[in-house]
Amino acid sequence: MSFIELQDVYFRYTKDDYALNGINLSINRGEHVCILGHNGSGKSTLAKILVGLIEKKKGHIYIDGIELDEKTIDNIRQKIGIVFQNPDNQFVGVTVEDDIAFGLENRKVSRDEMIKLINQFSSKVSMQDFLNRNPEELSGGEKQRVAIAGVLAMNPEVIIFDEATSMLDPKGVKEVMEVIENIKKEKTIISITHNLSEAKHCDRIIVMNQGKIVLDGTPEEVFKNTNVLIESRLDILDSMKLIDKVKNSTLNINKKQEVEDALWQYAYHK
Amino acid sequence: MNNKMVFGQYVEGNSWIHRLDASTKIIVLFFMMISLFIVSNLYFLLGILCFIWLIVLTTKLPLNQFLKSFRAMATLLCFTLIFQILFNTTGEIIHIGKFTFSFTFDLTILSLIIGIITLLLYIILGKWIHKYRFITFIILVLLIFYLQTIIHITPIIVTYNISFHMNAFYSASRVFLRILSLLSLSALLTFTTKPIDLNNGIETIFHPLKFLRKYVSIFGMMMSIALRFIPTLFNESQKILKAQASRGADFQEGSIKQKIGQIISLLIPMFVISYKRAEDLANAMEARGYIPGDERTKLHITKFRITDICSYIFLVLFFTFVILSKVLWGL
Repeated sequence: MSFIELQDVYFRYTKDDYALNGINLSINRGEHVCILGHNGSGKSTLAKILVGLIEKKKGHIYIDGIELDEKTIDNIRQKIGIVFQNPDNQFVGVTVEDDIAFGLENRKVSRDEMIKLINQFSSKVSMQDFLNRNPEELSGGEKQRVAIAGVLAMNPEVIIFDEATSMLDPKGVKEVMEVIENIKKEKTIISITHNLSEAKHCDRIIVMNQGKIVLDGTPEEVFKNTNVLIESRLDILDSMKLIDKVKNSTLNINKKQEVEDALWQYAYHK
Repeated sequence: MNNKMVFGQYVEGNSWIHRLDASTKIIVLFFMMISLFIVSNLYFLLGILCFIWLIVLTTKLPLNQFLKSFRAMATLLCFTLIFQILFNTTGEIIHIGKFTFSFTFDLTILSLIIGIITLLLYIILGKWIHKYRFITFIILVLLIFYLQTIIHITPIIVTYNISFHMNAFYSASRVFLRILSLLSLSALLTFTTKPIDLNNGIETIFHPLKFLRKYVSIFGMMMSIALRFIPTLFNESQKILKAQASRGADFQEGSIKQKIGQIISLLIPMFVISYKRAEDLANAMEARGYIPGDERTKLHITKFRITDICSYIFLVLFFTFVILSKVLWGL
């Protein structure tokens, strides 16, 4: 059995509208997986189910061989951490160090250990000089980095990023992406996004539409199915649009295939 | 947007009062406040007030800011004083030499009419007198009283007298000193302690009460989250104000009815946003393993210094002295 295993998982908010409609998924340890989908495709629901914030209606979820249910939830939360979309709404502490400490305080970590962990992980996200700052004095990217430090300090094996960069300015996105790139080697990462240019950094992309998985594969494999991506109401990359144009153009382009290949390479370029 | 917004009255500083642990400050202040109501001797009260002010001076707080914090309570203070003086009629009448503070007034038809006309004039002209409104009002009132003492033309409606008694003076000064001391004490606390430290202090004080601990920790968490989100929600409300103003809402002018409508256009989005935030926050807290009422370790622990111990020793001595003086000498 792989590290995270979902078997026939169903979930619905209203009576007959399934937000998750039979999800079968397995994720291996150390993988960097992107879940790609438009608003309402069920990708955030999937994240919330994985961390036990909402309960599945049907099916089985196994994390590290343990089935997720009410009894094991505390155990499983130690293995899985999540960073949410809104940087303001997940900042619990009054200062940066308080916020990083929040999860540790819940875990009853001793004070000395806590200070050590705060120093270690605040420097990991390069926020070590901001420990006494209020959230009001921080940018969105900085707040999000603090949130990542808070999750990292609890030493989970999996970290879910639920559209963690979608509310940030370009600088903030860059900072957060760098941090993710940094921790990728040590943790299993599930990034949830609707942005293809973000998704191409992953090892594996899972495309969701209407509560179902419609595509699953490496970025190269997934991007080739341009039609499916468009059907899933995703914004395809400009280079992919261009490839389509080149393919169907009546203009006399020499070496069409070579141009296409070059553009594909550009599309995958990280 | 102002990034360094500070809420509450906290003034940055490094005096010994600033460095005292918040729980120490709360406990000492609480017992000082109690002793203010035990003591009834005027000189003793004055002594306590002077002592409090001496402490305030050692903190090097900006004094004008400190005094400004009393302004909100000034009206209340004036009213209590006036009522004390007017309605306490025990003890001998105050007199300076031959002049006694006792006046007799005859309310005649004529003075009544003059009074009503002056009042109407004041209301009508009030629009144009902005600056000295309060003083004008006082002068007019005194003028009417003066008229009543000199006009003795019949028919007289009623005759009444106002006299100022010694006991009224004592009780008024007592109330004055007590309220001023209370205000100074609470200002001293809020000026030298960050809101979050106050919160931690309250938690520390209630920590020994085992049966309450669960509720105290929940309440403490609620308070610290409230403190954390005040600036965020304040910024949010500013944004909504601007957004609504750009759509034509006018929060400054208009009748009361219009103003209420405009305030609702601020309140409803604020409520919706706060609930959304609360839901997100609850999710984030739950995902990070928060269980309401569960035992948690603390990053910030109370640092007991020598000054804290000295403060407690002082408190014990002071409080025993207050009790003893009450019991032995009835001060």
